[in-house]
Amino acid sequence: MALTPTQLNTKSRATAPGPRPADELIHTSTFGRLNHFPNMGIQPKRFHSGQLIMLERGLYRVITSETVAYDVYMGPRCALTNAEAAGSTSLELKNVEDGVTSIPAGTRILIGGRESNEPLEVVTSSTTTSISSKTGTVNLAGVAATANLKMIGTSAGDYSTKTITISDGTNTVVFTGNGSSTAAAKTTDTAYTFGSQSISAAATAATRVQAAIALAKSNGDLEVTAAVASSVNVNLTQDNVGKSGNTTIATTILSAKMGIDQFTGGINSSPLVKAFKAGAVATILFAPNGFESAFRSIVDLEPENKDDETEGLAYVVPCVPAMPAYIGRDGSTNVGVDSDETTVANGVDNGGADKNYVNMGQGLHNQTGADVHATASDYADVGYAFGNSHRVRVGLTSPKIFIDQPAGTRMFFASESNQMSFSKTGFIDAHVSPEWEPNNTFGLWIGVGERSLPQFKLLVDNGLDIVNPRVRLIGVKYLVKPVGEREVKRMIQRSGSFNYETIPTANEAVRKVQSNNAPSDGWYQHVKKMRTRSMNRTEWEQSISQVSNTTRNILSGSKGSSYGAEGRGIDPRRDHR
Amino acid sequence: MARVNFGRSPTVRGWNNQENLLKVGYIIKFAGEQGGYYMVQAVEGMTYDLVVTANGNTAGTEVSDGYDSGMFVDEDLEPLQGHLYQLVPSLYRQPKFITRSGTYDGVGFPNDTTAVTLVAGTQTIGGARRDYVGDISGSVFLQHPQGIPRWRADEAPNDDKTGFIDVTSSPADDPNYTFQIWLRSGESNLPAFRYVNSSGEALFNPVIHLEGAKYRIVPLSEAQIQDIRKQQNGKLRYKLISAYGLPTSASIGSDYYAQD
Repeated sequence: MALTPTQLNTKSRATAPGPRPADELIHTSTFGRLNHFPNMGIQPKRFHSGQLIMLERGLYRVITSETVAYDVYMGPRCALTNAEAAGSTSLELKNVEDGVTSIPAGTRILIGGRESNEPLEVVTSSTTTSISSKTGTVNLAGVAATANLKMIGTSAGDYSTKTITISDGTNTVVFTGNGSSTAAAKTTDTAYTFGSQSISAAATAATRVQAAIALAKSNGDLEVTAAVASSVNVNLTQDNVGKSGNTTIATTILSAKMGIDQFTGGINSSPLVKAFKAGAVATILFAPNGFESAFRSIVDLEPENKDDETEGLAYVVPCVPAMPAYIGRDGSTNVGVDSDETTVANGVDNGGADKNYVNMGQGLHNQTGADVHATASDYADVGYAFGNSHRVRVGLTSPKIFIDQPAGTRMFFASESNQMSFSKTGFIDAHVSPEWEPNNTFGLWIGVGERSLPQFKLLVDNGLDIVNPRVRLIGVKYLVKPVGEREVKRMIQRSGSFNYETIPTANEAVRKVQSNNAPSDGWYQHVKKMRTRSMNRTEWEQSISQVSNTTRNILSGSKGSSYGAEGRGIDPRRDHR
Repeated sequence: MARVNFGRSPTVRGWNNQENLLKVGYIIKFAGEQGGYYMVQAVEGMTYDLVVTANGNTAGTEVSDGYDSGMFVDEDLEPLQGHLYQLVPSLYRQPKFITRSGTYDGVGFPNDTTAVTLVAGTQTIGGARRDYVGDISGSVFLQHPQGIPRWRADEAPNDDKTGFIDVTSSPADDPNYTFQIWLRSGESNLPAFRYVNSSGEALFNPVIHLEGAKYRIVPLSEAQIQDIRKQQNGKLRYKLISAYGLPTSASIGSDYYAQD
């Protein structure tokens, strides 16, 4: 519950809530800001209030502007097969986009939210989900963390007076080896003993430790279940699911006498909070290597169409978040966020008498207690060392983004290349336009009307699975007003000239076809526009000219907008007669 | 096809591409051409990856040390009529390491999980590990138009010691506009590239990255030019595009090369 102003000791007051409640925020996995740049590099340009701009339709003035940020989630799309009630812990997905064979545990899935009145929720998969025939069932029930203790020591002295500290996330219990007993015993709620008397085999030690942990569990002092496996292993499982079970086990037993696989894998239960209808659209916030999405239109991006004479205009620069790329500790390439905890060959005791240890960290490893070796004679045998081996971050990699604007018209492509092949041209990635430095060259102007809306496509061909694939749009939204002929004349009378910036609108982008004798908007549109009207020679030449309206405006210099104060009296149906 | 990818560097651009691109409304003229003014009518960004491959690749598209693609042309780079490309060639980076033993020649990506044997006595190798020291790439040579070497010293036209770019001079995350090329429609205007791997190591992302813009340009009539001159008090501001760099020795004295 939010704190009150009194609790906060401020004069703050509550304001109207946002359009979506806090539990509908899109919680995603993120690597954060990967590097810090004091000036953020070269950022998108912004026009100021009062500045004149030339659109295809004529001269406009910027009334106000405001920066805008938008995340387009580009992970594989799918839909819920069934209606799901609140509290459901199992989701059946259908129509999963091609290229996805499984969804790893811990993946976020965004459900709903496509319309402002549709509920939205982000859930987390608890286990790996297999996708077959475009369907799969996602488990949201959560997973309990597991760990393992591997007993290696074969004598009572390896365990007596030594401790093992285990936590269930709430309770912590210290188990101490008791060389005078073979049975487990409770000392306090947080202290137990395990029998280390007469241990002569690792399997015996495993049984003794398991018994002590089981005693603590039966007394309600520790919510961890222990079981002996393969005679020398003590498998530990947290009784409660969730991340809080990913605790650390501490011990004073020598690493050569007991190996520890720490608690990992705990994932919180993420049951649905809201109910969803069958067919609700979902986006998996994970894109495996090789995934290629369909083109997606984002209708939210359309600027507001005002009732008055002003209109909206948006300029957004698509940029791509990056994720770290590594060279593995073994020199392998295409390494993502993999584990460095897997055992390295030779990374085991080589059978020497306490002397042949493996050094995986910095400096000579130091044993404690009775096993400290201080002199060279203590290291009479051969040993092994690996230095400080770990993966190395070598770059920031990303998927590729392709853009159509308007729909069906490729942007940023080499004109002669195959427009249906998405690999060598027309892409934006973190090299071209990274999230921390959006590249103005690839900015998009979006006017009122869905015709100018861009569409986005994602291609993962960098060899790595992408966590939270998205496109970020950073830019400015403007409110602009047409400048009439009268105002243009006034400006010229006053100062002789005026300056303006030219704005290319979507249908004004670089012409995609090679033709010298067709209208720029195509014959179909042109004939439709000129229906029932005779065409004089000037109109004919203009219609097949390669010069666009914007260029005519530039060449004509001082033409005002045909829309606006002076245009109000003109019947808009005129163009269609 | 997926290639080994090392990502970009964690940096920001040094080159402001907005200062180097043409804008809508700019008037341009091509150097060496009589008359002929054009107006930039539309601008759009453009990216292009030229992938070189070697026969006998075992995995991905890596090219081994000493690889030489020879001069090659990609016909997809030809602009449509009335279009103009302004592209900057650049190279993707590959990390370079020094091994934990201090060697660096052709070491690739050293494996730090190999065990170092400690002989008798108290010994340690401390935090010994490979070190990521820099970025390497292939070298790219350009002929534009085909047969005419660019970026090279006049007296050494066929020498590998001049006329190249690499990741040091034009990295893909900050393409260097000093090396930009202008492409006009017509196959005779296509550039030819050559990719050479003299880095001492196999290169796993042998790609020439082209980034820049494409323009729609329209020719301006003499009457339109006169109108613009009138509007600007008799002056005509235009940008001179040198599509082929300096004139070659064969054309330096030619009357064909316009004085303006």
